[in-house]
Amino acid sequence: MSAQEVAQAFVQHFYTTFDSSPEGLASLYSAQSMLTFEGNQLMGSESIMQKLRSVGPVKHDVKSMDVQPSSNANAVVIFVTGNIKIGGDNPLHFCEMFQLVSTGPGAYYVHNDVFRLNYGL
Amino acid sequence: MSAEEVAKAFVQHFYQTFDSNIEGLAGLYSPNSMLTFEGNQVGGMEQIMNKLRGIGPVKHDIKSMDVQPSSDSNAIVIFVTGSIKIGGDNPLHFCEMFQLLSPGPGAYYVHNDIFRLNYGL
Repeated sequence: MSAQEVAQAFVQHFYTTFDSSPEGLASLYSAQSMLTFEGNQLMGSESIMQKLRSVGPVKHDVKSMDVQPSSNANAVVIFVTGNIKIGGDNPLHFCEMFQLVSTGPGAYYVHNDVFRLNYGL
Repeated sequence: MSAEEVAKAFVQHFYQTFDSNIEGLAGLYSPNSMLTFEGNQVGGMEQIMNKLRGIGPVKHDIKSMDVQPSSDSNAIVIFVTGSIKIGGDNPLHFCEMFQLLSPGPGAYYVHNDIFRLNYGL
């Protein structure tokens, strides 16, 4: 699979899972994973999952996805923008980046995850 | 310098230079650098500078900056949100991510750069 195909499959899986069954995200994160969510930084699958659970019910609507190879041949950088409804509120702009690192053929985990809402001018 | 200090110095330098003296950005990009600007991907310093010059006069206003160590110990990931005025128009939300790589002590270049406006709901 090309970097583009990996990224497309990942993004679709990530947001569908987040919106319908967030527990399914746990296997995407490892002990080395980092998440910064609206400025709060966490490390490791357990802390990350606690944070994501606490966000509550969400609905993501992805508008764009950009992909670049990272500095390592086994890693890819993904940049997503879109809208998010948190707990049924009005939609807000968000942007999120991921660095996926491959641990073997077809196997990826999220090494870096940074999420920000983008509101106010 | 910590990753946080490197990132802060970089972000300040990058956007000030972009807004006042764009040619000064050339030294931050190498032949391996990639820029995806609103979905258009270009590689290498020359193409990137051509792309950035083509935007015209801009004014960035940074709202947030997040930093994480990358998968390589000599790299960091930076995630910025803010608003941008292009050519004197009304400000728009933007988000941008960078991966900085260090080829030696105190030296950094931009390996990955992805920029997206964030508008419309």
